[in-house]
Amino acid sequence: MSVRENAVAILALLVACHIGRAQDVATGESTETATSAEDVEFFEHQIAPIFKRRCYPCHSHESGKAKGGLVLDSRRGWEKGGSEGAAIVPGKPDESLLMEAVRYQSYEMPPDEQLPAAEIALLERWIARGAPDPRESNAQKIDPEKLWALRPIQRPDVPDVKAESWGYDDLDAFILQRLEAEGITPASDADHFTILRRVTFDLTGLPPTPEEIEAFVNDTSGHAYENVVDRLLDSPGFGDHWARHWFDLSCYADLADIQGNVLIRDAWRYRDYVIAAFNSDKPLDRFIHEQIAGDLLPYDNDEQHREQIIATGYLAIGPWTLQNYIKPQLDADVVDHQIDRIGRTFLGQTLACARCHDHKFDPVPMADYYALAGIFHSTLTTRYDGPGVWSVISEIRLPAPKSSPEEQARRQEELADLRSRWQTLQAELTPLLLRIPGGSEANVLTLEKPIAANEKGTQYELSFEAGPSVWTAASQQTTAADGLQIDLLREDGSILVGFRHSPGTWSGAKDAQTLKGARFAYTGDGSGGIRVRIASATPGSSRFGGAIDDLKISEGQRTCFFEDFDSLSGGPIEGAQADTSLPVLAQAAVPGWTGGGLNHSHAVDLGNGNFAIQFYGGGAHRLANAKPVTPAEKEAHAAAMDVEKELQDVDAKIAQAEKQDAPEYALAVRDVDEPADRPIYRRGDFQNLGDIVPRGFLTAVSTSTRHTIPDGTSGRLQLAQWLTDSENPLTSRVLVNRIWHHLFGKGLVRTVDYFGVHGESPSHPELLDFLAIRMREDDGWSLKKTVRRMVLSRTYQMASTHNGRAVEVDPDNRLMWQMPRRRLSAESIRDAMLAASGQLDPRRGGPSLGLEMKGNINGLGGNVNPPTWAGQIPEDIRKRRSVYLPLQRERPLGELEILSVFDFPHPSDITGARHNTTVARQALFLLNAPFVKEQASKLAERLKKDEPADERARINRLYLLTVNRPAGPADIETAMTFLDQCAEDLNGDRTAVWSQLCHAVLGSNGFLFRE
Amino acid sequence: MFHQQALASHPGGDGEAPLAVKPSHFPARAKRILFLFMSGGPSQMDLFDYKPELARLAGQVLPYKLPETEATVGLDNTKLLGPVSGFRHTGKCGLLMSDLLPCTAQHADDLCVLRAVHADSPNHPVAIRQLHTGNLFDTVPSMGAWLSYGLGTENQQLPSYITILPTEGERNYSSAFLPAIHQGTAIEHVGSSSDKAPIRHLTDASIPQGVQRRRIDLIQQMNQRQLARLETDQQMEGVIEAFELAFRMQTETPRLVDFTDESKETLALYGIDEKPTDTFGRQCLLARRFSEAGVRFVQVSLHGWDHHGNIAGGLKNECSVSDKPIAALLTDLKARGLLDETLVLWGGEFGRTPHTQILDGNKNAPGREHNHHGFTMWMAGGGVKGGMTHGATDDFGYYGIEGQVHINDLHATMLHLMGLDHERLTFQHHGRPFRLTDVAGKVVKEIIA
Repeated sequence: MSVRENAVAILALLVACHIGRAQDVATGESTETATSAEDVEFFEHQIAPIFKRRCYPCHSHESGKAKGGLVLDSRRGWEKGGSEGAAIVPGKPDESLLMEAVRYQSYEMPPDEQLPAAEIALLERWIARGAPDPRESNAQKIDPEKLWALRPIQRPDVPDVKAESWGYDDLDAFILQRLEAEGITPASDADHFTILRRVTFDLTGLPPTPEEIEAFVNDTSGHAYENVVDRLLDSPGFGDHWARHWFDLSCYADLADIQGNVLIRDAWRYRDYVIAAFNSDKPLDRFIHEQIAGDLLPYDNDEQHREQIIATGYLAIGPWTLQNYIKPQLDADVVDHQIDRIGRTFLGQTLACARCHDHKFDPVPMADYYALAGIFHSTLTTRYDGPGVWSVISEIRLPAPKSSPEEQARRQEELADLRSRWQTLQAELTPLLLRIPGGSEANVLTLEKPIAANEKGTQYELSFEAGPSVWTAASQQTTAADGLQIDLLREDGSILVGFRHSPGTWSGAKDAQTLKGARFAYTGDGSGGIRVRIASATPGSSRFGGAIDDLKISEGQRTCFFEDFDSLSGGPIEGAQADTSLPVLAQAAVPGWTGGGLNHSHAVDLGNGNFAIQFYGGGAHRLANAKPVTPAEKEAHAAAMDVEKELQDVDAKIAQAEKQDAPEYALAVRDVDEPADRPIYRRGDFQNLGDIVPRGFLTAVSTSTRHTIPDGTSGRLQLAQWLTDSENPLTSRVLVNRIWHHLFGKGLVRTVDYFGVHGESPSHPELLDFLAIRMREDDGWSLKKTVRRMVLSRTYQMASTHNGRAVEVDPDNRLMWQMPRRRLSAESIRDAMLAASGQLDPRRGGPSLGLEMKGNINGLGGNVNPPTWAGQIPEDIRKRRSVYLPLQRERPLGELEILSVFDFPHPSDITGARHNTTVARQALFLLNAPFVKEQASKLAERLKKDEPADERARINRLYLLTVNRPAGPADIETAMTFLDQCAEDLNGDRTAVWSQLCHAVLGSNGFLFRE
Repeated sequence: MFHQQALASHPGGDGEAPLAVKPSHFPARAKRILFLFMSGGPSQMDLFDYKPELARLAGQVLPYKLPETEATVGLDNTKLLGPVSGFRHTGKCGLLMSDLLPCTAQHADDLCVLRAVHADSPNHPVAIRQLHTGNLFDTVPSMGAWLSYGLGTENQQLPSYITILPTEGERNYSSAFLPAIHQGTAIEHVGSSSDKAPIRHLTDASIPQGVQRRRIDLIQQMNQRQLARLETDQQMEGVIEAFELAFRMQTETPRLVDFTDESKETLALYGIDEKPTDTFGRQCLLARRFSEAGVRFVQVSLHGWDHHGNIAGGLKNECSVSDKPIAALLTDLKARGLLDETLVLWGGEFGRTPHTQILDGNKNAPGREHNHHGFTMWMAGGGVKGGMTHGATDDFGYYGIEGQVHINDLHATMLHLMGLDHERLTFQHHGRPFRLTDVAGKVVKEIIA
C-alpha cells in the first residue's frame, strides 16, 4: 500500500473498516460502527488542523511532549487522557475536559492565547457528533481459535471407506470417503501414455522420451509405475522443475531493480542452491532455516559454510528500488517485501496489510508487523555507500576453495599466454576499425581533418584536458589502470608518434571528477597531414573515448589545431537516430567502450546493396551517423568483427582464468552491527514513529513466546525456528498444500497463498492435516517422500474423464472425482518444444548473464545501466532449460517472451498459483513466433533423420516426441492428407511441408495440455 | 476485429460477451479516455506553471531546504533555475503557457490544467507504475484494464484497451488479477511499411497465407478430435476460439494502421511524413481512429522527458515532436464532435525540481531533478471545464500548496467522469476487494463541467 499523507491514510482506514464490516459474517464478530466518510472528512479537514497547529506542540509524539500526560495525536491518546483522565467524552462536549480547557473554564489551553471562537465551536460540534477520530483503528481482535488455519494440527484417523481395495495410499481414503458420501464414482485409471506424460511433466517439467515410453510400456515387473516415479525423483530434472515453483514465491531474478537495469552478479548461486537442495532432498525445515538464517547457523566445513551463506539469497534477492533516493523508504520497502514474502510463503498470511494499520480481518495487529520488521531492519539487505543515488544489494565474500601451488603456477602461465594473444589481437583490430566510417567516431575517436602540424623538424606541443564528459553518474568509475592512447597518424595510417596517458582515478566522487590533463611535445617529419586518434589504452574498459576535451596542438604561441569535442559531450551524440528496425547483417560489441555510451555496432542492410554501420549505446539509441559504405569498408567491418569475436573469446578465457583465484561473493544478508527493536511506523510512514515494539513473531500463534531473541542478534534464526516449530500450525499446512497444488492442479485450499479469514477453507480439512503431519513427523520434512506418496496414490492416477453426474454435484471437482487437465506451464511448453526438436541443451548451473561469463563485471564499476550485451542471453545458455535463463524484472528478454505469453509470473510478485489465461496473443505466438518456427523446422529435420524413408512411421515418431503417445490410424491419415495438400501450396517442397506439420502439432492442445 | 478471447475457464464466466457494454454507476460525462503519457517527467515550471519568483531569483541559492532523507546526485551546488522558455498568455482564458507549445496554445480554452498533482515516488519505474495502476509495487490492474472491466467496450471487434508504442513494461498495461481480456493490447509499429506488423507476431510474411490457414485448420481438427474424446473442456474450447480470433486479426488488422482513407490535410495536420513529428503524429492519429471506433481506453506514449541535463535543449526537442500532433488530435476530435465525450489526459509520472541538477559536469547546460511533490497534468474534453487551472504550487513550483491532486484522486476523477464510483469498482483478490484507488482517492469536483 502506498505510504501517504494523513488524509489519505485516514481514508484508508475508513475504507478498510468498510471492508471489515462487510465481512462480519465470516468472522462471526460484531464490530463497532465505523467512522463514516463524512466523519473522516470532517475530522481531517476541520479538527486535525486545529490539533496540529494548536495542541501538538505540547501534546504529541512528534514534539516529544506530553504535558499533563496527554497526547492528542491518536484516538487512544485522548481516550486514555492525561493525569485527569479521558480528555473527551464522545457525544458530550460539556463533560469533556478538552472543552473546559479550550473554553478557559478550568484549564486554559492553549495557555498563551485562547482559540478563536470558530475553532472552539468546531471542536464542540465534533465531540457532539461522537468525536469520530479515525487516526487509530480499534481493530476488533479475532479469536485465533475461530480461524481454522490457526488451530493445532492433530493427526486424523484414516477414514473407513466402502471400496476398501480402491486406495493405494492412505490419502486415497480421505478422497474416496467424500466421493462415496456424495455417491460419485472416482474416474478410472489413466492409460499408460497419459500417466507417464502426466507424472514426467509434474515431476521434472519435461516430456517422456520415446525410449522412456517404450521402457514403461514394456516393463512387466509389476512395479513399472513405481520405477518411473523413482527414476524421475532421482533425475536432476526434478530439482530444475521444483526449484521453479519455489522461485515463483521467492521472486528470483538475475537483474535487480524493478526498472530492470541493474545486473546482479552471483544471483545464480542462489538459484543453483535451491535446485541442489531439491535434488538432494534437503529437509524442508532445514531448507527454511538456511534461507532465512544460513549465515547464523553453525557449519562443519567451508563447503557447508558457503552453501549456507548463499542460501540467504532468498532474502537478499528481490524487487528492490535501488535507485530510490529516499533511503529510509527503500529500507522500509525492502523489509515490507521480506515480511510479505515470509507471510505468504510459509504462513499463508497477508502480513503486509498490517504495515499501516492493524489487519482488518486477520489477527495481525500492527505491532506484530513491526515486531517482524525489527528483525529485518536488524538485517542488512541493501547498502548505500554513495555518492549517487544507487544502493547495492549486500554481498558476502565466500570462503575460498583451496588450490595447489602447481595448479596456481599453471594458471599463471596460461594467463600470461592469453594476455599476450590479447595484445596481438588488439593491435590488429584498431587499424581495421579505423577503416570503418562511424567506427572511428565510436570506440576510437579519430579526427579525420588533416592537421598540418607536421613540418619537418618543427617542435609541436600537444595538450588536452581529460574530463568526464559522458554520463558521469557515480555508477561508473575508472581505476588507476585506465588509460588513454593518443596517436598522431600519418596519411598511410602509420604512427608518427604516440602517447599513453593515465588520467588518474575517476571515482565518481564529486571532487575527484576532474582528471589530469597532459602536454606532450613531438617533432614533425614532414610526411604530410596527420590525424589524431584517441583510443583506450586499457583492455576492455576505455571509457575515455568521449572524455577528452580541448585538444590543442601548438607551435610556440601559435595554435595549429584546436578541437573541443563538444559534439561528444554531455549526452547522446547528435546525428541520425539509429534505426533499430533495419535488418541486421552482423553485429559486434565495440571493444572498449563499456560505459553508458556506445557499445555495440550493427551492420545493417539499407537495401540496393548498400549497408551501413550503426553504433548503439546502452540507453539512448541516438548515435553516430549511419551512412552507406563501400565494399572495402564492409570488408573491413567483417574482418574487424572476426578479430573482435576472437578477442571476446580470449577475453572470456582471461576472465575465466582470473576468476579462478578471484574472491567469490554471494548475494546474501547478514546481521547489522547493532540489531535493535524498532518503532511502529504510524500509517506506514517512516517519519512518523510510534512505540518501540520488541522483536518477535505473530501473537496469534501460541508458540510465539517460546522463541526468544538473544541480545546482539537480529532474530532471523529464531524466526526460522519458530516457522518450523512442531506446534506452528501454519507452515506445514501451507507447504503441503502447495505441493498438492502443483501435483493436483489446485490446492486443497485453493487460495494457496492466503489461509486467512477470507481465504478458502480446505476442501478436505482432515486430509490437509493428515498430509501436514505425515510430512513433518513421518517423512522428516522430505519433499521427495511427500511427492512420492502423492503421485503413487490412486487419486493421482485417475483419468481426466468427464462425468456428467459428478459435474452436477461438484462442478469445480473439489472432491477430486477426476484428475484435472491443465495446460503446461510456460517453461514446460518451451522446454518441451526444445526437447522435441532435439535442441534442448542439457547443461545445468552456473552464471546465465553474458556479463558474468565474460568476467567483465568489474569493468562496469557499478552494475547500473550496463551495456546492452551484458543483459543478453549468451549463446550457450539460449537452449538450456528455462530455469537457467537469466530473468529480468521488467521487459522480458527476447528469448523469454514465450514465458510471459504463457503466464510466467512476474519475478517481482509472490505467486503461489499462476494465472492460466487463454488469449489470442498465445495463438499468434504459436503461429508466428520465430522460436516456435525454429523448433518446428528442427523437429522436422530430426524426424527425417530418425525415419528417413517411411512418412507414416515419421508421423508416429512425431507423436511420440510431442504428445508422447503413438499416432492412431486417424492421426496418421489426417497428417498425410495435410502433407499432400500443403505440398501443392509449397511447390512440392517436402521439407517445408514437414515443418508445417510439426509447427501445427506444437500448437495443438495435445501438446500444450497434460491430462 | 481482434477481440481477445476471455478465459473460458475463468470463474464467473457466464457466457455473456466479456467485453459487452456494462452500465455505469451513474451517468457518464465521457465515453472513453485518451491518455497522452509523457514518460520521464516533463518540467512543469517550464511549460505550464510559470513562476515569476523563480525567474526573479534564478541563479540564487535555494530558499528552501532539500528533504534530508533523500540521497542526491548532481545537487551539491544546486541553484534555482529560471524558466528555460518564454511564456505567454494564451486563449481567451489567458492561460500562461510556454512558447515551446504554440500549437497546444491554440487549445488553451479547452484545457483544464491541474497544477498541483502529486505522487508518492521520485523514481521512474515506481512512479510510472503508480500513474498507470495506482500502486507502487505490486502488480495490479492498469487503469485501462479497470475501465474495460467496469464498462466493457463499445466496439466488440476491437480490444477495449490499446496502448500505442508503449515505452514501459507490460505491468503498466496488464490486467493483473482481472480477467486477461482486459489487458492492454500493444501496438508496436505505426509506420507505413506493410511488412511490419502493428501487433507482435501478427503475421509471418515468409509463408503463403493459404498454408497458414491450412495449418490452423489442422490444429483445429486435432483439437476438435481431442475435445470430442474428452466431451468437454472449457479451456481447450477457449484455445480453439483463440486460434480463430488470431486468424481474423491477421487478416483484418492491417486496415487499422492504413491511413489511406485519411485526407492529405489531416495527415499534414498531425505532421505525418515530416520531421520531427512523423512517428508521434502517427501515434496520435491512430489514437483518434481507435477512439472514434469506440475503444474504451487508448494510450499514446512519448519517451524522452527526463531532462537531467540540458533541459533547455531537451524540452525544445520533445515539444517540437509532440506539440503539433497533440494540437492536431484536439482539433480533429473537436471537428468530429468527439472531444466532448473523450477525456484527454496529458502528463508524466512526475515533474521536475525548480533547482538545477548538474550530472555531467556541464554547468552551461543544467537540467532538473525529479519532483513528485507538485507537478502539472492537463485534461481536455470529456466533462471537464476548459480554460481553467486547478491547484497551485509554491512560488517555485516545488510543492503543491492548494488544490493538490494525488494520483489516486486523479484516478478517482477519471473514473467519475466515466460514470464509475471508484469505491464501488472492485474486484475480490487475495481475500479482499481491490480498487484502482486502493484505499484512497477523492474526486476533484471543482474541475467537472
